[in-house]
Parts: sequence; C-alpha cells; structure tokens
Amino acid sequence: MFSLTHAPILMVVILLTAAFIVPLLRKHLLVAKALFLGAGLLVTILSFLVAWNVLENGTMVYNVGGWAAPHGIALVVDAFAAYVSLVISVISLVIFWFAVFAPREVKHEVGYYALILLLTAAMHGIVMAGDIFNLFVFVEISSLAAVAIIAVKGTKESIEASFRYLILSALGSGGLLFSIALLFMVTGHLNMDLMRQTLEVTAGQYPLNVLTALAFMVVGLGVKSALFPLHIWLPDAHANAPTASSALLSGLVVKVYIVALMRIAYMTLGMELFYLLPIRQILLVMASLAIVAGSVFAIVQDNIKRLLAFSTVAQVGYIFLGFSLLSARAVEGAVWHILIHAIMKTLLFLAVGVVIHQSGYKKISQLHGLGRRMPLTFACITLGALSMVGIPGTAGFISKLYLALGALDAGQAIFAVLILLSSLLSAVYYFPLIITAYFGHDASPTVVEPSLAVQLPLVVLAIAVLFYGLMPSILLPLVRQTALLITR
Amino acid sequence: MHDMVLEVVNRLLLPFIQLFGMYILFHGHLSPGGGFSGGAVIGASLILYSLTFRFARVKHRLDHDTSVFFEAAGALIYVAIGFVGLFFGYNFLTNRGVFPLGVPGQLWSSGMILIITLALGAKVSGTILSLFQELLEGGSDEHGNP
Amino acid sequence: MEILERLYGNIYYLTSVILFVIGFHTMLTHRNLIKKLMALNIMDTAIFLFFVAIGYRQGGQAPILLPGVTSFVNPVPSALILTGIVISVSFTAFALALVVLLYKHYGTLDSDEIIAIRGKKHV
Repeated sequence: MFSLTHAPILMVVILLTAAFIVPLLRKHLLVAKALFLGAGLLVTILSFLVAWNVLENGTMVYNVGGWAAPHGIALVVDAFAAYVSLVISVISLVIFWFAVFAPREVKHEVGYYALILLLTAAMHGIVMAGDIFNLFVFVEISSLAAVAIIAVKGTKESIEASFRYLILSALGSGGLLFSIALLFMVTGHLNMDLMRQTLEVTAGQYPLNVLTALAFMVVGLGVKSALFPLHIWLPDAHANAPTASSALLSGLVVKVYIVALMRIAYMTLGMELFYLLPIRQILLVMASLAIVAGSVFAIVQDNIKRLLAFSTVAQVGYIFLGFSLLSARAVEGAVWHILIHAIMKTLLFLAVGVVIHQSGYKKISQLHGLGRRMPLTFACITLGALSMVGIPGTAGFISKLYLALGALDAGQAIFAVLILLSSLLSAVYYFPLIITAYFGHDASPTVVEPSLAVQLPLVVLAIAVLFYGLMPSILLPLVRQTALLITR
Repeated sequence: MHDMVLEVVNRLLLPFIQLFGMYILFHGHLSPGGGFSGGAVIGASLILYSLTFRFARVKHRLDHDTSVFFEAAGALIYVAIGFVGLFFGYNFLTNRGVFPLGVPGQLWSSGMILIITLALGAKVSGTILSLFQELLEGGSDEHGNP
Repeated sequence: MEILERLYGNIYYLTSVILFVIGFHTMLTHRNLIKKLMALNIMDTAIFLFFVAIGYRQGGQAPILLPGVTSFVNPVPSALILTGIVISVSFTAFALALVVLLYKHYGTLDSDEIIAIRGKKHV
C-alpha cells in the first residue's frame, strides 16, 4: 500500500504515534511493551529498505504536504542520512529490548517508554531534515527527551545532573537558534539547498554574519555533543542515569549532534566555506584535547559508569578529528566510528548496568573475582573493552586504522601518533577493569547471571563487534558515498 | 479554599474566557492565533477552575486520566489527518488535492487547517492542565497516596 | 557619529543582542536556580526578538489579507517564533518541575550549596 517514497516520513511518524499511544496504556503494560518493541522493529525494517533504496537510486527528497522547496519543508535522505538512520534504528532496537526485559530502575514505566520513543523519533528527524528550522525543532525535542530520560531515575544525583544538562543544553539551543537567525537574515530561505545556493553569492557581501553564525553553531552543537571544553555536563549525566538511558545517550544522542553539525556544514554552508574559515584548525585542536583529556580523566575514575562517560568524551574527540582532517579516509574513519562506537559503548554500558544491578557494586575496586561468577557478561565487557582499545580483530581497530591512515593522507602525521598514544591510554584505564574482574580474590557467591532475555542484546552486540572487526565490508559502499558527500 | 469572592467572580468570568479561547481556535486560519494560543487560553481557564473550587470537587471531572487522554487524542488526530493525504496518493499532510478548500476568508475554508487547529487546541489545553496536575500532586504517586 | 547612526538604524538587533548577553551571562554565573531559569527565558525572548526584527519592513501592515493593504511584514519569522515560544515554554515547565524536585531533595535553591552537599556525600 505504501510505496518506498513515503518511508522517510513514516519512520518519524510511526515512532511519534507510538509515543502518543503508549502513555494511555498505563494499566495494560503488556500491550505497551509490545507496541514499544513493534514500533522499533518496524522502523528498523524501514531504515534497511531506505538505505538499500538510497544505494540503488540516489538521494531521496520528500516534500511534506506536497509543497516544493521554497514554500514547504523537505526531508533529504542522502547516503549520510540513510547510514546514520540505520545505525540509530538498529542500536535503539537493541536498547528497546533491554529496557523492556531488564530489571526495573524507573517507577513510571510507560512514561519512560514514551520518552525513549520521542527521543528516537527526534533523532531520525535530525538526520533526515532538509530544512534548517525543522532541524532545530527536532534538536529541541531530542534535548528535552534526553534530559527527561536521565531525570526519571528519581535519585538526588540524577536530578541534579539532569538539571545541569538542561541548562547547558538550553544554552546550546540558544546559540543554534541565533545562528539560524543570522543565516536566515543573510539568505532569506530556510531550505538547506536553497541557502547554500544563495550563500555562494551573499557570503562575500556579509562575511561577519556568516562567521558569527558559524561560531555560534559550533559552540551550540559542541555543547550538546560534548566537545572538549564544553563537556562538563557529560560525566554526571551519563553516570547517574538508568542503564538503558546511559547507553542511548552515550551511544547515539551525543553523536547525532555531530551529524547535525556536519549536515549543516555541507548542505547549508557548503564545504568551500568550511575550508575558507579557520574552523578546521580550531576543531582539530579541540578534538585532540578531547582525546587526551578524556582519556586522562578516565584513568583516575573509580566509578565504572563515570569511567565509561569520560571515555565517551575521548571518542567524540575521535569523530571530530576525523571530520576536521577532511581527507577521504579520515572522514570514512569518523563515519565508521559513529557506528562502531555506538555498538561498543552500548555493549559496555548495558553489560556494566547488568553487573551493577546483579551485584550492587559500583566501583572497580569492588569488582574482584566477579568475572568468574558472571562469565558471559564479563566476556562481553572484555570484548567491548578490547574493541575500545583498538585490538586488531575487533571493530574498534577498523575505525582507528582509517582515522590514522586519513591523518597520514592529510599530511598531518602528528595526529596518527596521537591516535596511537590515546590507544595506549585507553588500555591503561580499560585493562584494570578486566584484570580485577577475572583475577581478584573471589566475590560473594550470591551473584548470578541475569536472565536469558537480558543476555540476548549483550550477545548480539558482542557478535556485531567481532563481525565488524573481521568483515567490515558490508557497509562499505554507504560509508564511501557518505565520505564523498563531505569531501567533494 | 472556599473564598466567596473568588467563586462568584470565576462563575461570571469563566464562560467568557473559554468563549474567547474558542474564538481564537476557530479563527486560527483567518487571524492571528491558532492552535497554541487558543489551547493555552482554554488550558489556563481550566487551571483557574481547578484552583478556585475545591480540588476534590473538581477531581471527578478533570482528573489526570482525562487530561492525558485529551493530550493523546489531539496528537493522534493530527497524525490521522496526515495519513489521509497518504491514502489519497499524495505526500504526508497534504492539503490541496485532498480536503475541500473553500473561499479564503470564510470560516469553513482551508481544508485541514481548521481540523488540525482544533486538535492542537485540545492537545495544548490537555497538556497545560496535565502539567498543572502533575506539579500539584508532586509529593504523591498516581493514586493520591503520599 | 556614523557609528551612532548605524546603531540607531539597527536598534532592534542591538537590543536583542544586549538581552541575549544578559541572559547568557546570568545563566552561567548566578547561583540561584530560579534566576537561571528566568535568564533562560530572557535569552530565548531575545532571540525571538531578533527573528521578528528580521521580518520587519518599514510601513508594512500585519500579514492578514484585507482590502486596500499593499505592503506586508514578512510572516515567515513570526510563524517560526510561535514554534520557538512553545519550545521555550516546554523547557521552562520541565526545568521548573526539576527545580521543585531539587528543592525537595536538597532543601536549598543555591547551586553552590547543592554542589557542596554532593561533595560532602561523596567523601
């Protein structure tokens, strides 16, 4: 009945509809869970079909309401949007499963499911938006939902962490809206393609406007995606959230804002403008600082979840590094890292959440010997940690290889050295976790493995880590086309 | 609270406030206003009603489930109107080929915009009332137990 | 003198930028949580003022079709701002709910004291 042309808008609409129906089903919890999982599954199937369609037939443009470009809102699904949409839908399906079957951490379950559905709908909307104000509205929806899924936990620390995230995120949104206002002032359009065509003429006439807009946009989206000096909200927020929320936030939400920045860069400003202004050097410096500082801060952490949160700061630095080096292989490495870090960080957060719930221990020093009591969970954690360090054979190696080769391609060998050094730093903070778990003296015997339904997402993600480490060629065409879009 | 002055003034004023809110809603496609502002006015009138008269007396009519239902119903009607465009072969949320557009400037014109405005008004007023009720019972859980 | 003339010509944008900076600065430096929320609203209102000022045209009327009116103000920024105001209201409502919960848990509305209480608990 629906041909594939309507798939982009259907992805967002199905998740939004489910988000509106689920809060009504407070007394029928099974129906709510089935609806939750069903919406996630349907959107995953649609995103596979959309990705296949984009590979075959090129970019899909969808005009909502039938009105074409200057009067209407367009959704532009090119290779980048299809790839990131695929990543979001698959990883979020795994997290949906975990949120349904894992032991309860939040009081108001249907509200939690509704918030996660809203967040996922907004993330799909961000990556597919072709109109800059539509992008802003979806950014706001996702920010509000992201703050809310931290605050549902109800403890003192989570509410304070979510309030700080709210304030800083609102600052970022203000900056983004200001930059949209400045660009609208100069071009008079809100559609990204038309803005790029107009900016080719008017950017020379109004250079200060475009420069200010770019500065506010980088700061605004940098606060939301936790680029180095603006990452202050992240450790508290990701460490004090429920497990599924931490996985969703660290694995997907933080990177969707980087995707939004790159989409605005190549669709609205045009990469020539991006080359002209000194934004590349600034982003390179901030990304390098993020990699080093994130790793150094993670080494001194004892709370496992805070360690993983600081590790996210460092990994976001990798993605920014890849996007600012702007050689073909560096951009491919950054795009790979979006997927691979999502898999690894989700695996780590979900497994660590299982460990924390089963044993009650939150610190690394308390974990001694637990690896022998929960073999499957800790095997998954070990695989995830090895992949974050970048051991060959795991998925993390592939993205770091591409990033290092891309740094050499761009003629800046110092960043390849930086990537190697940071892998060493990652080993310094990940290996004590594994060693303490397996080789400590024995822990309490009451700790058991979780149920099979909870182990399933962990196993699936661990298999994905190995699969992408040994056979990364499945998604290669999409990644190549994405890199072409950005570096042309 | 059982203040005589408040009760009498509210009984006189509330119909006019709601009438004004409905005027903003129904003329959303003709004059400034529309879904958000009309819904906000009606929601504010419902909050005024809840505040003035004793909350227990109001509870059986404007309880939490009703406001959540209105919230969800407004949004679902919006999505359903969008799907009507899909069923007729056009894109999502299409107005021109699908709904009867009247003469611009009259009340029953511009196809789906009137229906969407009314749905949005229901949703926004339900949301405002629901937020007020959540903040009011902030110390107790869903069944009113602290 | 030319600077003052240009400033006077762009008085709406200048006011908007001043309000934006006031809101931005207050949000980051003042300690009271309610002041931070008020500053958030001021900052958002400043950006809306900027947007609406973009659409203004000298001598234009409100964008409603009435007989005999020829020059209109640009209606697109005003429509965008309606959405923006709703977003700002949602943010404020959610932040106020969080402030109520924070007051219930910590007993104070001062962010420095909250950090001090959390620091003592960690040790």
